[in-house]
Amino acid sequence: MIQLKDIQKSFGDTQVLKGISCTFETGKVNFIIGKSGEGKSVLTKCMVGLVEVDQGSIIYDDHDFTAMDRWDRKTVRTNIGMLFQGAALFDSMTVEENIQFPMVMFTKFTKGERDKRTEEILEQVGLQGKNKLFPSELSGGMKKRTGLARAIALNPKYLFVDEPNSGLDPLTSIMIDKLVRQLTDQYNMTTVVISHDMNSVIEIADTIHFISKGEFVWNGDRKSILKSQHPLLNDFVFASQFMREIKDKFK
Amino acid sequence: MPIFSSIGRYSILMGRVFSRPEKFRVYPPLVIREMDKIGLQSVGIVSLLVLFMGAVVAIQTASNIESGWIPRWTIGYTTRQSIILEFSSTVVCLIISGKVGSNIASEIGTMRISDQIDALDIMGINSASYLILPKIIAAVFIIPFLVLLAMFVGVAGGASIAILSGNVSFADFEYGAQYDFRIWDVAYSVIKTFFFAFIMTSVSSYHGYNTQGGALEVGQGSTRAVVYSIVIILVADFLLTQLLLL
Ligand SMILES: Nc1ncnc2c1ncn2[C@@H]1O[C@H](COP(=O)(O)OP(=O)(O)OP(=O)(O)O)[C@@H](O)[C@H]1O
Ligand SMILES: [Mg+2]
Repeated sequence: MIQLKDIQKSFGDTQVLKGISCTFETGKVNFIIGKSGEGKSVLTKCMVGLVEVDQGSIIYDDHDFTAMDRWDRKTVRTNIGMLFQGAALFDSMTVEENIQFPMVMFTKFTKGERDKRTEEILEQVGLQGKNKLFPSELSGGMKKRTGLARAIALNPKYLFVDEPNSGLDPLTSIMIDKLVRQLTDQYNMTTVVISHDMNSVIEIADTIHFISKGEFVWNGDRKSILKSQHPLLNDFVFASQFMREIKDKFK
Repeated sequence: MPIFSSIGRYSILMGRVFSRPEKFRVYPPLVIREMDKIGLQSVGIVSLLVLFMGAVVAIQTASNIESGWIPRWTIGYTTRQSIILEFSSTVVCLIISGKVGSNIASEIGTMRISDQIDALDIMGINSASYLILPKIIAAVFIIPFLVLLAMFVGVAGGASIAILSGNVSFADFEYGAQYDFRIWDVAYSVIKTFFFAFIMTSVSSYHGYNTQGGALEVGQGSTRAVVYSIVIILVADFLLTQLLLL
């Protein structure tokens, strides 16, 4: 479980996050949705500690992350996995080396144990036999799978996923979405997904937080999102002709 | 003043680079890889460079002492002194900065813009130390050897060419090259090299690490890395010379 309490963050004179509070439950896929430039990425960076908050606290299962120093944060960090928008694989390493990197850095695993765990994860993400390929030799979808594989290498408790579907075709997108869902259930993680893709939301979201101008202005689940009367949320969800038609049918 | 904020940010980055590393035993292989990239892969270009510089200095000196009252062995002496004091250290380091500096800045810059550095930080790895420390250690260790090699190749190359082209006799060159030889001159040059190696790797890493934007900015960052490295090396050369030779 991750709790946010009154998170505020400004860059210069512009306040990007204006007091965000919420709870992300364990074992759930929690979505943060919102228009471009509303502060989703900044919020994620605050949560994982890449950006320091100005005010408020971020609590990982009763541990106040914001109050910790670098060395205490490290123990929390080894429980965090993150899939970046562009996958952020290490270019100079093969798929296998990417996945084993956290194991080499943070565990006392022998080579045999690392290889065993790698095979296990590769199978979970559907990349068997791709061990020796370099990131430059992978397709967009395969990069994301490798990124997920690296993120879960150490059995994290928390998984962050930034824009899982950017640059992917609809079928591959759904496969990645389902993989996120499946891994969340399997590892019982607290998963936070940032997205503006309504398909993903409808496909795998348990809870949804809608961010607008640096505040959470609506939250609910995937059933209530289609019925919501919130004007800003409606504009966002039913931005496309396709979704408007679905809404009309739905009524 | 932007220059002070740059110096401040550079100092903070170096503080992170030299803070306690995550896991000591992952560093030696990284250092060895960097030694190969920074050192061994520069042996060819460095040798070629000083070979010709040695030859040019020898021939220029020869053509400048036509008047009979300067002894011919001055050619050997001048060649040796110029190579050992300045060419082997400063000029060679400037050339290596061009090659290694742009390499380092674009490698780290690309990692920055593709979130690879953020990925390291999120894992709880001190990315500054993990990426930059091996490069600094490798350079400070291996570049002095390149400089010693450059001294040897430069003087020997200068001698060979000056002798083969008939400008000076072997005996003259041998005498000049040994005349008033002080080991301190070699030490002076090598000491300078430690500083230059640190400057080129740390300054280039700084520019790569602070890249923002996309591929264009990576290119600009690596150009800036080379320019700053070269200027700072030249200033350091001046200061160190005042300090060490006077
Ligand atoms: N380091 C920074 N310095 C200054 N302003 C920033 C910084 N990072 C983000 N911002 C600003 O914060 C605002 C929110 O940006 P953010 O990247 O969080 O948007 P987003 O919701 O993730 O958008 P997208 O969906 O396009 O990724 C933007 O106006 C952006 O300009
Ligand atoms: Mg974003």
